[in-house]
Amino acid sequence: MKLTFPHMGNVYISVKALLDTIGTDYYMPPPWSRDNMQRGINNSPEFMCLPFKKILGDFIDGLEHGADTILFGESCGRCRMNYYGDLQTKILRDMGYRFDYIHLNLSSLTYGEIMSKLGPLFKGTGKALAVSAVTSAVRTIFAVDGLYRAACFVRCRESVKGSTDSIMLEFEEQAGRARGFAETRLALSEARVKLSRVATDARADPVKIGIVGEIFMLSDMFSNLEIEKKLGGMGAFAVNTMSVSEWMKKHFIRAMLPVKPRDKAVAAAQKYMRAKDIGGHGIYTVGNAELMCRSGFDGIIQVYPFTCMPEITAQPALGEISEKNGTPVMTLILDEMTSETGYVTRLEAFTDMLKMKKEKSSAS
Amino acid sequence: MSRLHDKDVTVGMPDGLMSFEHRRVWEKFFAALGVKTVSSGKTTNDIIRYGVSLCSNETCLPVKVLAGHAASLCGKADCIFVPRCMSVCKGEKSCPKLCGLPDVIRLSLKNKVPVTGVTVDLDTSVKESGKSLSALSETIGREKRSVESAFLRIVVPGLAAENSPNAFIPELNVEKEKPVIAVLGHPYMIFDELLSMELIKKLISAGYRVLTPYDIKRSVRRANARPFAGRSFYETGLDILGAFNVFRKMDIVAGMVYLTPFACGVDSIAAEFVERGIREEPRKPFLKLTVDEHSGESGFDTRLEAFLDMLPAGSLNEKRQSV
Repeated sequence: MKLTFPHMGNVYISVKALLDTIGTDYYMPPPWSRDNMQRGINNSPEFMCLPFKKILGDFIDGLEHGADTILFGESCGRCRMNYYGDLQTKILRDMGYRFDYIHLNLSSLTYGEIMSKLGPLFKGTGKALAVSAVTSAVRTIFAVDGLYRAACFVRCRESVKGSTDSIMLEFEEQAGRARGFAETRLALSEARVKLSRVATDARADPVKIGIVGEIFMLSDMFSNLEIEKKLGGMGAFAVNTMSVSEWMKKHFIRAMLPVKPRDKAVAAAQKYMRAKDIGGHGIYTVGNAELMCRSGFDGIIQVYPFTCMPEITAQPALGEISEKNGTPVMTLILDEMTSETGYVTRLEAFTDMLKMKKEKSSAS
Repeated sequence: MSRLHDKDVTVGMPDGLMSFEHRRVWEKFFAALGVKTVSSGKTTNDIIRYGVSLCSNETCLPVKVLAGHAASLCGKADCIFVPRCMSVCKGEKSCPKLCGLPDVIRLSLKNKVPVTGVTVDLDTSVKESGKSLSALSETIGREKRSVESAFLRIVVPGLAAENSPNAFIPELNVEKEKPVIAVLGHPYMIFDELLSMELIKKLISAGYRVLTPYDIKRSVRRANARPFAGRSFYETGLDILGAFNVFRKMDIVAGMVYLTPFACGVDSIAAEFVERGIREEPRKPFLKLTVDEHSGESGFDTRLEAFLDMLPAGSLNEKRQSV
């Protein structure tokens, strides 16, 4: 059995360490491959969203490299992501590939579910080792997201432009080479130390921009054209509300709690969207935007893939939030036709406008 | 009927989206409560233009049209009724755009007229409607108990009725021996004469009989909705896939036309399964027509004519008139 899995941001660092630890044979598609994405696009329905196309491209690459088992997650919400598996299996079988498809039910992800679905992978591995490996994987996801958040904080304040980026590039290379959790942890701690030593401008007061939107686009740097890095380079402090660790908190850790805490973002969204769920993370987009406006963010950017149903539903509420709170909101819609130059221009214009607004209000 | 206040409230019913299937159910509901309703009527070019100007660019044409219908009721009604149909029966769900619909319409209309709605989430529980029903009872001035009982008696079974109100259009589908063109699509696309550019009428005047998913009983549609039969999927997607799997095995069906609004999320899955399925049926020509607010009727007609010309010569007994 040879496994392949699709990319979603930096999750591969943790998945790779997990598969290395339990000794499964696998093929990982390259994390940054325009070619793979193009192959996904060529074989996908026109109006499907970008995550589907990118994931399909990763699958094709994996199957081309001899993989015979695909690992992917599904849930039972309202977003199209729940039907990716059905359609991708059909497309790949029509293309002539033969493979097994392991569905992880993400909406009720528990240790039991992971252990039963991934049973074949853990063959020959003791139960204790398997449980500890999954636990390490979850902790690594949190640690990696923490590192990227720290990088966002440092990047907009650094004295020498580009020092954060070179540390993160080094980290990605080192984590890519790492085998198992010990080496991954080492790469993480080294990067953390280096980040803490970056010379920063103590007087820096960067504009604070909250990023809301669709989770795949927000956590996948390749798909969102490195929005965090670009905003940081323009001297803006980007706070990304969606990441895989946030998602794990909501679905994996919350599912294990006996008493579910009230979700602040859903409660804040009720003023605009009187529903508990509008599919995907639409309600969190509205709620987080409202919460961030209230806590004094300078601007909000919504990012979603073209034709994303939940985010389109959430979009009208953002206009209202912007009007009520006086905080500028910009929506960026990405698809395979997006030109990076146009994207940068819009980010620059938005950041410049926020900086001018901030200067004006601090002067008066 | 016991009343909470004396004011007579007129409820505006915008005629778009799922009202093509559910209009009569809601009208019966309000009639049982003795509440006057006013409908926005057929879609007009003004309604489309106004709806497009109100909504965000990204949303789909049917939602924009519904906003236009709602806006056309300003001044005619005291409140606009837009149901939040999250699921109409167990194991089904609606498009996310329907789940946020009352809010989207309220925000698009900029609070010009109050928007009221009932949350229907029968997949989760009938209890999900409780809060919205009490809010509605206050708006229309009827006792909560009678509103709830009318909802349980009329709306709950009515939304998932076995026979669609759009089943069998007798005055149009008279001649049984004629070959059939199956028209697939959401009810608010294929039955809206303006959005569908009178597709059904054009096919009939070209000498064909027309069948739509809603001519088939709901249970049959559900049982044949491969690959989602017995699983949770979007309501309209199940209708289309179920009907498609029935039509593809019917000899009398000479071809199929799939009408879809630009960038429809449900159709990006359903239409792909239909397109891949139809390739296994070499004798059934297939046409997918995508429309949005910029579509021109001449281009639409040209494609339709070309499609009809392509149909096997024997499929039409009599001489076909031009479209």
